[in-house]
Amino acid sequence: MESRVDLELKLEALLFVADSPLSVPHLAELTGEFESEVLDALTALGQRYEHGHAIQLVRIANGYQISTKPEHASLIANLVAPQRTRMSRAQLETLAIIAYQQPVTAAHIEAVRGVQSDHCLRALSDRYLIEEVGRKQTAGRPVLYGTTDQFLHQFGLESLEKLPKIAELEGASPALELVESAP
Amino acid sequence: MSAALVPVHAGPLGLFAPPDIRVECDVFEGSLATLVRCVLSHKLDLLQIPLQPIVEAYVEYLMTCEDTDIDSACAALLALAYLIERKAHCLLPRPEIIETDDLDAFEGPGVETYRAVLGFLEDGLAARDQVFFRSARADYELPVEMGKVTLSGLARALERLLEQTEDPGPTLLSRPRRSIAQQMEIVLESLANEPRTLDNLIPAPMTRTEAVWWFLALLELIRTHAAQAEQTEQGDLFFWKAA
Repeated sequence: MESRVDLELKLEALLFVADSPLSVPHLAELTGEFESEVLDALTALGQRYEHGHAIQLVRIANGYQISTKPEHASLIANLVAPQRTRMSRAQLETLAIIAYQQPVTAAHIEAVRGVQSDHCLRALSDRYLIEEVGRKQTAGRPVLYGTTDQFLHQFGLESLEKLPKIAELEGASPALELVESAP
Repeated sequence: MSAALVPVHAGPLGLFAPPDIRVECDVFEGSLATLVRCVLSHKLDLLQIPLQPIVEAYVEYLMTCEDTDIDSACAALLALAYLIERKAHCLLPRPEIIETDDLDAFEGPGVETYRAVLGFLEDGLAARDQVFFRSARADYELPVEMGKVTLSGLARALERLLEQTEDPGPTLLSRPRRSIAQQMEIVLESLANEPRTLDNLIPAPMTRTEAVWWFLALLELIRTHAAQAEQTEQGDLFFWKAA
């Protein structure tokens, strides 16, 4: 078995080049190590980034990914052209209903909102935030919608389970989940 | 089946009555007109009536009748077409209908409660905006190098394109518009490896809406590096598929 440091370096290399979050099972398969070992190494890697580094390790969209720290946001924006297109309230509303009620039909969404949602559904689909996850077994077999991993990524969520219960929304923190302690 | 000729009259079908083409089978015996009336009033199960003999009788009528009245012949053809269409519809598989009190009974929080979620999602977006990932589907990117292509050049190209569009006239039915992603796929298929102008790229005739949609998709392809553009000294714009 390799040393912990060697495993950390391997994980760091993989996470550096990955353009999407990597799950623990995937990392374990790539490195040939047990998932428990990978988890420990990821925790140590996250702790290492806490001080003296401009990057951090975050749990997001059912995996782990390296990101820059918030304090460098304005600096990086000088280099790249962030496409911070704001979503309309109607789109956010539609997305919220899908996130909490999925899988859900367009008719259900319209029953909740009281207005047609075709345009919002198309816009959210174009942004890869929702997708067709099946068809309801009723007359007409309407499409069922669910959220995607891109939704989790764009809203900084580790998983759907991390969506706050609606009753707990006051005081819910939307901050990215940093790898600082054992998961 | 016999196909005797009878005087034409406007019958209950509301048009010239078909000629007296006789229909005889296990469940029905009578004229074609009577058969159609029974089907219209749901007195017969059309699935029990073989249509092939009726069609054959109609053809025989056309072939043998010396003084075929075109109106009657058309009426017979119309009646046959109606029966065939109805029978085909009966043969289609029926969707399984699950009986429920309310197919989409709404259970759960109301829209006001979901609005409380919006703040959480907006805060999540704001927090996410402060960090940058190496992402295949980035919401940020390095600005596209456009070379000599200018904003005014693009605007002039669009203007010239819109001058060639046709007025679609009044829209009777609304058609769902393609998404920009779908339009991009279409535009990408049209692009060649050699530079082409907008006129040569977009198929004519087109409406103003189609022209604008093509143009937007083309701009998006350029932004995502799937297409390239170049502007000449004379201000002409050329587009081609990126390597």
